[in-house]
Amino acid sequence: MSNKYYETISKIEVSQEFKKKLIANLEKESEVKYKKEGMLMKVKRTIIIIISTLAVLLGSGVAYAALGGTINGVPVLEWMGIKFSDDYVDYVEPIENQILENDEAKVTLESTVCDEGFTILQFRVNISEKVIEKHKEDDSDFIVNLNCLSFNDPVYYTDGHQETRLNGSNYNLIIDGEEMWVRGSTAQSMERLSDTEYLVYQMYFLTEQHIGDKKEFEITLNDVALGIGEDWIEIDGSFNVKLSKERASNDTKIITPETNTTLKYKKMEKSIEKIYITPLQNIVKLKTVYKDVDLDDLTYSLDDDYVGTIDYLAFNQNENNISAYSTETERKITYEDGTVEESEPGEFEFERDEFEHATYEIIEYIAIEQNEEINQIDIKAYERSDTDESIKNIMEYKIDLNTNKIEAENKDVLIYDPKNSIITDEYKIYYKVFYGVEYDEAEYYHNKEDENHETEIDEELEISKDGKETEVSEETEKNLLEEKVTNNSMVAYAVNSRNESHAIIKATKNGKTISKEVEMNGLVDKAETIEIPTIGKVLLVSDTAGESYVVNIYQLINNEIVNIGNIDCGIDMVTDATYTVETKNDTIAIINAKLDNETVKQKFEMSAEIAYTKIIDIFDLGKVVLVAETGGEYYGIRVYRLSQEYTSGKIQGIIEAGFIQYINE
Amino acid sequence: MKVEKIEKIVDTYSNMIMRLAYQNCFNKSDSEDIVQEVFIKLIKNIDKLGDNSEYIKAWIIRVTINTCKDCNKSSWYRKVKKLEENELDFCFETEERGVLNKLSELKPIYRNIIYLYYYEGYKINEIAKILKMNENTVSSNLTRARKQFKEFLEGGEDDE
Repeated sequence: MSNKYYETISKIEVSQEFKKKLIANLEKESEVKYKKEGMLMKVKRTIIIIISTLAVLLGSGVAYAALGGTINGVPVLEWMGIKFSDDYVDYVEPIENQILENDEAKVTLESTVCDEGFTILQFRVNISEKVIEKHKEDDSDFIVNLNCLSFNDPVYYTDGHQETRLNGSNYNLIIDGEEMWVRGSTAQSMERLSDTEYLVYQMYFLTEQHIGDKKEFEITLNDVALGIGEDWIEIDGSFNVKLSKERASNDTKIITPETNTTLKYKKMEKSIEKIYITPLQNIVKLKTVYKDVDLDDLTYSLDDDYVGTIDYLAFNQNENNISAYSTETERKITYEDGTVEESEPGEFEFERDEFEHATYEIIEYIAIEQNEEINQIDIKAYERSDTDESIKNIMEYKIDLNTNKIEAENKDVLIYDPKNSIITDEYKIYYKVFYGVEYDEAEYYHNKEDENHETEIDEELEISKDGKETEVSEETEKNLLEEKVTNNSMVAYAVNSRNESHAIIKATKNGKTISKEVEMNGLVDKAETIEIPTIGKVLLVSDTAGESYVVNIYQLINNEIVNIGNIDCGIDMVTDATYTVETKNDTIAIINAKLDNETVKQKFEMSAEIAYTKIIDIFDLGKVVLVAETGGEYYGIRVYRLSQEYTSGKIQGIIEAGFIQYINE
Repeated sequence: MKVEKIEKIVDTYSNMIMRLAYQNCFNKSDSEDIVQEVFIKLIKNIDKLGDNSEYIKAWIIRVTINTCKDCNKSSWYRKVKKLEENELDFCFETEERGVLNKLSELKPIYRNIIYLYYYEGYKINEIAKILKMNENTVSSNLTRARKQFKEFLEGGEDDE
């Protein structure tokens, strides 16, 4: 199979002709398009890149050292996201005589460690030469790799092929004989020592929910299987691991809050239930309850009660950031009729399409770094907006480890708002923690661009100050104010189902909401509400397909959501162009466009009298010129913008890019 | 950006991107658009990607697959997605066209896993990180993909 595939795929190549064209285009692109990018887009892209970077780095085949060792200089557990105290090694228990083997592989449990939260098991895996040779049968250069060490996840055979959990195991751990599904709190990493030998670390985060108040318990690991290549090797037998957190527990202090720690944000309430000061770390148990919620409150990002993604950071008494690892162990919804539904960490998925008056609960644990110098922990909860990417500190808990006192305080501090260029030092810490690199380091090249951006803004201001080339004449402005019929200025618009080709538009007026699902020609990209003189408040929804980018304009008219126009903002649109407009003889608009040092002046004759002209921003795509014309019953707005040859950057002139129709209610 | 640098990265990665793009959209001109789009993204971000070639390669694979997904999501694309025989005539023999036709019947995720595993030689844990999937899922998907692909090609026979 692989040969046919390999040969066929090898034939797919970029032709020399295309390569030449590509190189020419890229060369121009690197000079022209690069500087057109707005700051907002750059920040956005950087985040995406960093996320990709992290994902790739994690898979870069780094070697893991044994417990207490390092990966690329970072302690192995810290690399997993856990930072234990230096006392950690004192609590590692060596294990003897826990070996499972057959003629294909041998798995040895070598050590364990556990405290009030973490249980980490270290295994050594040896794979026989026979297995390696079998996998190399077709290709001697093929690298055989251990993919995972699987437990409690029986291997099934379907038509002679092996499958695991996807066929339906409903537990992943057996504690004292009881099968249970440990949600969102297992992780495995491994170190490849050679072709045939690996060290595997299996982590579970076990709480009282799993083991109650037991100090000693037994973990059973059945159905041991090694994922090698695309096959599974099953090994008969099971590991029965007696674990004791006695020592760690004896050295653990548990703080139960004496005062009410509940903080409320919209319909969400958070409270600290317990704090465990173990010899290895500090663990804070947090309970979150959303009360009296409906589906929109939890899933519709433009709903007033919707809460964005919550992230936590921890700081010490000196306001220095300290390591914190949060994990979710429970997430459930209780419907109004008492039915309870559990879901996986991070998921907002429900079996019911609609519901109201439900209660939604999340249990989280935050494992926080501990050392002798930390005597106060400050946990800050941040809401990351799912609509505009802004980040706000909404809650703060200060835990005094000496007096056990907990202070809970609501906050409302914006630490990041790309729209208004708010980037605080606190955001830079957040950035470092969640994206893994220093903000300034990641953004270094943006600074140069920002300087250019600021200069351009200054230039625009100068034009306005001159007063010679105002966007709207005083007379027109006056007419506008009188004429400002503003269809729907009290309407609130919202769009859902982005990233699909269907947009669900909701318009709410006087408490009544009208919805409409519209199919776009491309992928729905952005949405924004703007005010257009005379026309009033409108909703812009853009869609993109390849080189095309269209901004569709919607408005609520006579209780119906109507498409009143479109603007072509395709690949030829010039982001950084600035415009001024003059009018002549009532029907002629003379548009001046400026890009860098190049200016273009073009005359356009309208079919009716010009009511006003205005320059507006379309998202962060650039500016367009609106020329409103009117005659009798007719009232329409023509939209103009500069066009640029995409590949060469050559200015092609000012084009009519769209039309907006005024429809009176 | 110097021409030599652009030429170097085009030489190094263009065929890989083309192959990935092709087996995601099975259309030459769309694949070429994707190749260009990926390079534009690469050039814009080259300063931040450092010099580690393995890292850059993995980044490109991820970006290519995402770009293909965006392309596949657009409604116009869905309407014209059907694999055209004529499209394949330009460089493939009958048997190879059969392989590609069968490949097109696999789920995109299977195609990408097969490509990364068999062609690029990535390990399952690396594929899991690049595709942001659980290792077990990658492993199971690879098994399924291989099984399906074999059945398509061999009429159900196992060639092992």
